[in-house]
Amino acid sequence: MSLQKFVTDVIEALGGVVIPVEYALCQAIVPEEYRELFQGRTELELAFDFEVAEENPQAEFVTFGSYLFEQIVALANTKAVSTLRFAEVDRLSLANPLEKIGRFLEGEPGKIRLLDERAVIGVWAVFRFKMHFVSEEKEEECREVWVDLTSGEVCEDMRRNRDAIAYRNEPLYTYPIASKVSVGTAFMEAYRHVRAEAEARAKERMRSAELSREIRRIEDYYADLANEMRKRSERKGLSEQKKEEYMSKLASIEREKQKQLREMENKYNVQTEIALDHGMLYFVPQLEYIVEISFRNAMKRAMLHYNPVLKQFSRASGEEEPVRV
Amino acid sequence: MGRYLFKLNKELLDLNALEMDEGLVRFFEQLPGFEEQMEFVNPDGLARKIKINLREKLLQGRGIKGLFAPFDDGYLCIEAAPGGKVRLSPLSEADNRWMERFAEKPSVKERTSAVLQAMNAMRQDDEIWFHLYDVAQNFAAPSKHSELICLPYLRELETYEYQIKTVKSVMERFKGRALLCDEVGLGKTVEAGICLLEYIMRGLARKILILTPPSLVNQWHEEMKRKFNQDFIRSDDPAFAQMGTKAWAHYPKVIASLSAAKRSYNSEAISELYYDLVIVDEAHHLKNRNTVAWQFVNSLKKKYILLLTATPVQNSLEELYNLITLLKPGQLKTYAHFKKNFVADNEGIEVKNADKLKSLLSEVMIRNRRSHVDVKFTKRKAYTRTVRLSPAEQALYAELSRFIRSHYEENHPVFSRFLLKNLQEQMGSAFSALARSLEKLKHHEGLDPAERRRVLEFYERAEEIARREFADSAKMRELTGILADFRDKMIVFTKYQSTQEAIAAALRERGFRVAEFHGGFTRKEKERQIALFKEQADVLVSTEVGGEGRNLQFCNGMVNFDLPWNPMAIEQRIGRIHRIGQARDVFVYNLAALHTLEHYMLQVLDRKINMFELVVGEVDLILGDIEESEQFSDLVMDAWVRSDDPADMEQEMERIGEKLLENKQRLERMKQFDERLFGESLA
Repeated sequence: MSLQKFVTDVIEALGGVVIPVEYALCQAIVPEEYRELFQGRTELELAFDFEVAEENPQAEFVTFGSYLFEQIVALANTKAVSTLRFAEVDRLSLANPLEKIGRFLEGEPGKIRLLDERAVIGVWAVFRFKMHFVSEEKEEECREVWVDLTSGEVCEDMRRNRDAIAYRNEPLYTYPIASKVSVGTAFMEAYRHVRAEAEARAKERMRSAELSREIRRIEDYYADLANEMRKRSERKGLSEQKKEEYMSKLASIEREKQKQLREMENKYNVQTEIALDHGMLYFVPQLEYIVEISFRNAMKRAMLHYNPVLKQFSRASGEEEPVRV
Repeated sequence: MGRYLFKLNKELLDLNALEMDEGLVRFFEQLPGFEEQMEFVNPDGLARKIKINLREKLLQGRGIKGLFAPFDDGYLCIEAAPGGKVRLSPLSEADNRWMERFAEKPSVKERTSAVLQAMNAMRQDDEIWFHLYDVAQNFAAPSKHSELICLPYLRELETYEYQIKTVKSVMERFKGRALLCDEVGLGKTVEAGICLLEYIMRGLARKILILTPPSLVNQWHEEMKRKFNQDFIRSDDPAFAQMGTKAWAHYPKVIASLSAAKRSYNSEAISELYYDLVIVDEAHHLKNRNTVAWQFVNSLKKKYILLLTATPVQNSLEELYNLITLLKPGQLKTYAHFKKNFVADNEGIEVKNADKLKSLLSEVMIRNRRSHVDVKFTKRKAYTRTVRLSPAEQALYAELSRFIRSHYEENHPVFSRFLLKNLQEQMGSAFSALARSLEKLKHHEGLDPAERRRVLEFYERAEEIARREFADSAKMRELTGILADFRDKMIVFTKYQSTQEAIAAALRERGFRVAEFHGGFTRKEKERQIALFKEQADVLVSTEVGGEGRNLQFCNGMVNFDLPWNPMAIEQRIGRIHRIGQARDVFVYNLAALHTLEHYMLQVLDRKINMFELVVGEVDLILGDIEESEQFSDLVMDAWVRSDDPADMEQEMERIGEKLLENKQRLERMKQFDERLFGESLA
């Protein structure tokens, strides 16, 4: 997306109006409440190309790194806080469910009987994090974590398939909600997950061996320089003034060494920071099955969910009910 | 039976009613033990008996407003509760246990809390913000770590694989600290500019300092705008100067000459600051670690630093050592160690243990060579066409030159050096350009009557010549001949807009299809004229202002109708068509009239150093120290003023020529030395 389109979209999303004037030049009217963002103005011209900006000196030049652009990006990053997305599935039915459940439960000894089947709405809490790796340079990586509010577990498959989920902003189905887990609990799981990942990434970035090599280079170099200086200062027949000069140079070599070492450590030591940018709730219809599994003298009930997005079953944890025969 | 989701619409609550959506209707339809009046309980424990009218899709009852008071408009859940009641609740109860295990900054905690609260309340922000969030991320982060995100945002710039490879190496392998030593003409500025834009877009560089020789400050300023849409301020900009040394901290992106920045009052202010990126062009000026310049750059607090030079070694290997040590102290250990291990002779020129040295250099230095990159280079061929001025023209040229010589050293209040130099230069271009200046000058209040008469006389003679100049001058006849013989598109360059317009009109009269270009055009008009030239016109008549970025490589012939007195300006004219991407050899025709200053200048530049056929970028190296104290145009003008006759002028120009030749020979030696030292690419 071009920079101009992005800036236009942001202003329009704020409730402003953008009128294109010519190539890379537009007039913008922004709502009063955002006056500060636009340097105290509510009506202004924006130029997106330096040549156009030079021909129109009254226009604000917007480009990567310009004050206005940075402000607009910062705003776009904070305006999205929470939303709901209601998934639309082609067909919510499953032929021969018992057979498929049998395959899913392969390895589970006993006979399976289907007790109940109904459509429900599964809910996923989606957390958009930014992982910051802070060393001399700060790198950012976005990380989206999906937590199934039925099982409370992180679901990487749903994240990977997110683009395959068609959604609307209003409910399409009136099925009961299957979720059991609170958003707060789901967040704890997501945070634990993303922190572990960030720490592993930070370790990769640390490049300890490289850091040791760089430190050795600096220490060796300044030690050699200091030795050379010391030898010179020990020469016979030097005046006191000359000796003092050498001593002062020795001190500045040490200072320079410390500066270089600090720079190097800042460069290689990687701290991680994790920030939650926004969250979403995805409501996805699925099929819920209650099955009875009988093996020898024992019998238990289990709840399974069939997810039409992933086209696979999951077993609801904590739902198994032993049944005495 | 579970919880059902419904949307709370508070519109009718003042009438003690609530409209039911499909979710609520479905819930009651499915509810075992459904009755037309049921007790509703909210999360605060408030209970109210409410009538449920499924036919009208309405809930009605006293106290319904209070029942829904804890909730905002939006989604809610409803479920069956014991005792035949129904319970209202949000999807998820507030749960702040996460805070105990959350180890991030308070501002992050605050945002997290706000997000979770909004999610619990099932708040639904406008989808556009989520889309714009994604777009903002794409601006700042590549889909693959190794990809460059800035490439689609470069202006008027075609990049080459070796340049992209270089940028990636600088960022990934060298972590933003590198010596870029590409051979001349391969685009070190472009490589540094791409690095710069990439760092800016990734949010890694905000405070940036570019240090160049004084003569290149403007070029960098223009290139940053033209190719990278980056608006730097020059340290010699009046707004910058007015602010004093505080300006260094105030402006985030500054281009300064190294010589200005290193002055103690500036360097003290600069050394206090932390720069994300420092670029030093023509970094061979930092070849001596005992100089103020080297110490100054070494003292800068910086995250990334790029040193750019085509000639990392000019006189001795110590220069290379000093540059590398500036980037990475200790990479080549101490100088004593370096000398012992890598320098084979007393002059410090011959290298030993070359492989080991190359391997150490390859950790900080990139050198692309013309012979090793994915680009086809073509040659330049230059022709000089000398014409004779008409007797009237020659007489005016000689007389006005004498007048200029006699006043040049005078410090005259009207006839300043600047003005006289301009008149001399205009006369070398066209008498019509001269006439325009003289017309203004004759009205100058500072002239005494005798001076005014003299100026008036020159003006009248110039005006007389100008009237038929483009219909019948020797230069125009020569130009028409060149254009007719070339049988392909050509660009005609001139310094002055008045000359440009007159040439364009004259060529049209002679039946040529003409496009025009000058700095006064708007961007749209410029593009229209370039398109006209590309698609229909035979010739583009252009001033040298404002067209640097336009792609004109479809044309391979140019005529210098007049000659700038600055060889770099000539080089830039040629560079408009002879640059990377030109597929054919380039033909340069120079027009000069006998016995004019330009004619002498051409003799030196063309015959002595063969300037018009040099490789892109070499002119700069040959001018080298010549321009350090005085501009080339001043040297030439001084020579002209000192010369009483052609023989004097020839001698004066010979001296300048000798110096240029010496530099050219030194460049040749340097190239050979380079070849021995670096051999294959260090790319």
